[in-house]
Amino acid sequence: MSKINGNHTTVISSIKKRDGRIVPFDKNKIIEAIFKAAKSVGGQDRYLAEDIAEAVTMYLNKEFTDRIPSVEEIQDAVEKVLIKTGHAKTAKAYILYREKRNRIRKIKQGINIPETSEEIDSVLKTKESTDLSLFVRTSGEDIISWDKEKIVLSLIKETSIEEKSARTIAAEVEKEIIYSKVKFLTAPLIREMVNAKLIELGFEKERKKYTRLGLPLIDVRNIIIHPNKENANIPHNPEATNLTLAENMKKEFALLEVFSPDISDAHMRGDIHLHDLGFIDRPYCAGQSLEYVKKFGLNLPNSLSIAKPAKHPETLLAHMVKFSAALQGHFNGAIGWDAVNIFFAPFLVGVSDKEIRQLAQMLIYEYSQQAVARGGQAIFSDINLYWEMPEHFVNVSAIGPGGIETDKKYGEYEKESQKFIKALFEVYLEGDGMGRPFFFPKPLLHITNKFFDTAGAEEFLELACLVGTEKGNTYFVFDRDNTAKISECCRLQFKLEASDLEDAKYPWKMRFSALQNVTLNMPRCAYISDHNDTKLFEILDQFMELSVKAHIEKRKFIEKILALGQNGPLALLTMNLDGESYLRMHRVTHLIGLLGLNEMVQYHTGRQLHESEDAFKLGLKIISYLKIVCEKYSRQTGLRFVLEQTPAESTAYRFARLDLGHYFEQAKKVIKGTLSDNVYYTNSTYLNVSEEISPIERVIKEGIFHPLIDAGALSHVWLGESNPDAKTLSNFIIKIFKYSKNSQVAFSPEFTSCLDCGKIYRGLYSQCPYCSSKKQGIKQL
Amino acid sequence: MEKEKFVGYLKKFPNIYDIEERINDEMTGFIVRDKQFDTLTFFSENAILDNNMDYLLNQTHHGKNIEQITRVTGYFSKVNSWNKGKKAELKDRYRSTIEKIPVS
Ligand SMILES: [Zn+2]
Repeated sequence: MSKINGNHTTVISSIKKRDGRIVPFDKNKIIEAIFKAAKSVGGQDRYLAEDIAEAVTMYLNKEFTDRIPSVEEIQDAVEKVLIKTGHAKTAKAYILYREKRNRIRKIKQGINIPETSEEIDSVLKTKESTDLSLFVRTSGEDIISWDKEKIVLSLIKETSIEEKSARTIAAEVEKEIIYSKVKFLTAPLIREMVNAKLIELGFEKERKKYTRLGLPLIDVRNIIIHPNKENANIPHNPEATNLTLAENMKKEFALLEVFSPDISDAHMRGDIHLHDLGFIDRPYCAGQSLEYVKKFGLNLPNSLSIAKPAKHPETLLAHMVKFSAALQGHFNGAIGWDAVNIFFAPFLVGVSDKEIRQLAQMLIYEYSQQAVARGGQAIFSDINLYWEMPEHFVNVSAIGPGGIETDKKYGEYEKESQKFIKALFEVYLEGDGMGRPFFFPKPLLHITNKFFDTAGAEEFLELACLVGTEKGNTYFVFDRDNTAKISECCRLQFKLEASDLEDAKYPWKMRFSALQNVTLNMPRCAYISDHNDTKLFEILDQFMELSVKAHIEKRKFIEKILALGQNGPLALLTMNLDGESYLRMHRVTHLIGLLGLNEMVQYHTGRQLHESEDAFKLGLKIISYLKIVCEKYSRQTGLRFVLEQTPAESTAYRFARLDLGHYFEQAKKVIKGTLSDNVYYTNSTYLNVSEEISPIERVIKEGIFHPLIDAGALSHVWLGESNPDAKTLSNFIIKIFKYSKNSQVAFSPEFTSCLDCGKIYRGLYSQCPYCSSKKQGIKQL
Repeated sequence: MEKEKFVGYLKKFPNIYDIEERINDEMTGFIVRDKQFDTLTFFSENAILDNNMDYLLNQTHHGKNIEQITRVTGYFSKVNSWNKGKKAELKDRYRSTIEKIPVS
């Protein structure tokens, strides 16, 4: 059924032919021409051609109310309507058809038609200067007139294409631009057109090199206006959207240029996850020693002023926070500080309790309120703390005010060190101005065997536990049997090895970093191997191989920019104040993240980790195997590969979503959540979070995996509304230390904070109980 | 506060509030829609007279102007910024009660 047949009224009744004759307007000719063009690109819908012709007619009715359109003008209108209605292919075919007809006509008239691209060039050049005034908005914020030569030069420079080919491409693009009749061009548009031409002519490799990175308008608009849901920590403000925009572009850069296509594909598919791709030009996380700041002051490359070593505790604190902020600009993840209360101690001799309390308050507020790092976030900061004086520091010479050694060993500063840690926990207990827990810095309380022999330990542990149950801040880190550890981000710990303990004699050297984290999609290994034991480990091997390759590629890139030294983007990390660069590349670790062991085992055996002894044993076998594979790769490459419990704020969701897409039948059997979009995998080696397993059993069972996970592990006890007393928790902690292998535990209460009345409630509420109550004359409907 | 002032203020923010005169339970007053919190609230003329602006505006929130805070994985943060997977996990989390942590 056609809308255009029959007595449809048209205003246009005649057209002007090329020779000047006026003839009746015939819509069927337009339909024929469109349909011919459509057929040449595979179109078969004649009605569509009729609809478009109708649109063309309407357009003509509107545009030509007082004069008769020419053939050329009608053809222009057809092109315009085809493009506007999204029929780009047909439009192109129509343009080509039109061009061909023109040629034939000109040949008939005896006009010489250019055949080579050079000839087309010169014809177009005259055309350009006569009937075109074409301008380009450049990326350098300028408007310049069109110059095809710029395409030629950039193609040669960026893709090493042969000059002749570059010229052909530039000429072809120019032709299209002229036919399109645009008056304003932008650099991105030209680049898109050049890329389309490169593909059309088979220059795929060159096309890749000529890629423009960036985002569609709609994405940029959304990022600027709407909050970022990807990272729970990013506030929504202009600085934050800068971060998101930059992250997007760097991510594209990383996938295109830093990683080889097989690695990038593995990431995109979701076999493995390359963390923080938007921070491709930074190492992952960093652990520092205050001794470095105490000894060298604040002497950062490219900074406007240099500060000598601090003489007062407040100055030392200021240096520490400023250095943290500078470091956060160079690492993706957490900025950890080792033994903070111990290293502060020489500055606290003779300082009153009140002043120490003041200092503790300043330290916590400085970190929790600094919204300067990465898109206006607080600095991801950890402070490692000790009640006892750990063995590896007892005989280390202390550095005091002015960066000078005090003639004493740290073993002699136990009293000051304990005063400070106590003050810090008292501040945590109070919470912020509204009584809410401080988000940062996270206090990591290390407990070594010596803890229990140190005076006041019982009382102090109760304070730390009170903070744990009231506010949830405390992370209890168990360093059993003299394995010293320094914790970094969420649960990343570095076990201090013999060489590190040697470093402890020069504690400013105790700075560590993990260069990158690559996480394995463990449930997917089970889906692919389809219940076959041998295959299960083969797939794990494949994913491990990809991860190791990814690590090596990232490392190469970081080494490349580090090699630029003082003039490079990582100048800060190459500063050399103590005989080696700040980032000690020979000491960095490479993390292999674990995710979804529970679902992997569940799919393979039909039982979750907590449901059967066999399932649990398989889980252990898998993690032990992965540890051995890490060791194998470490020997082969000379790099340090270690397992990590991935924090997986976004990865647990991402893998689950991707698997629902690619492995729906398998994934739906084990995936957690509610199967629409609210899905997740159980983190790392954890037991199912929803199971009613007693805390002690959970911590002991999960702890069996911990010794295998060298970069650190953690068990969560979700408290919700319940608020166990400190004594109960401290017994619990002692029990875990003595009777389990668990390496870290945290208790997590939940809070609801009302912004209207300022009240804080334990537990999660969707409405403030106080503010939603009834008032006289006011009715909430 | 004066009724005109209250109404005038709300009308200045048409993206947030709709306001309409209404009789409810034989009281004359106004019904206010707060689009941020997706709520409807009736204010009698007397209630408007008896209370200040801050108080009245807060009443349109129905107690929903809250922040939920807990540990996401490795740090504390506000739940409203979590992704759907993390929110689903939060719903599933088994919360230990005090009795379940053995004292001995
Ligand atoms: Zn309230």
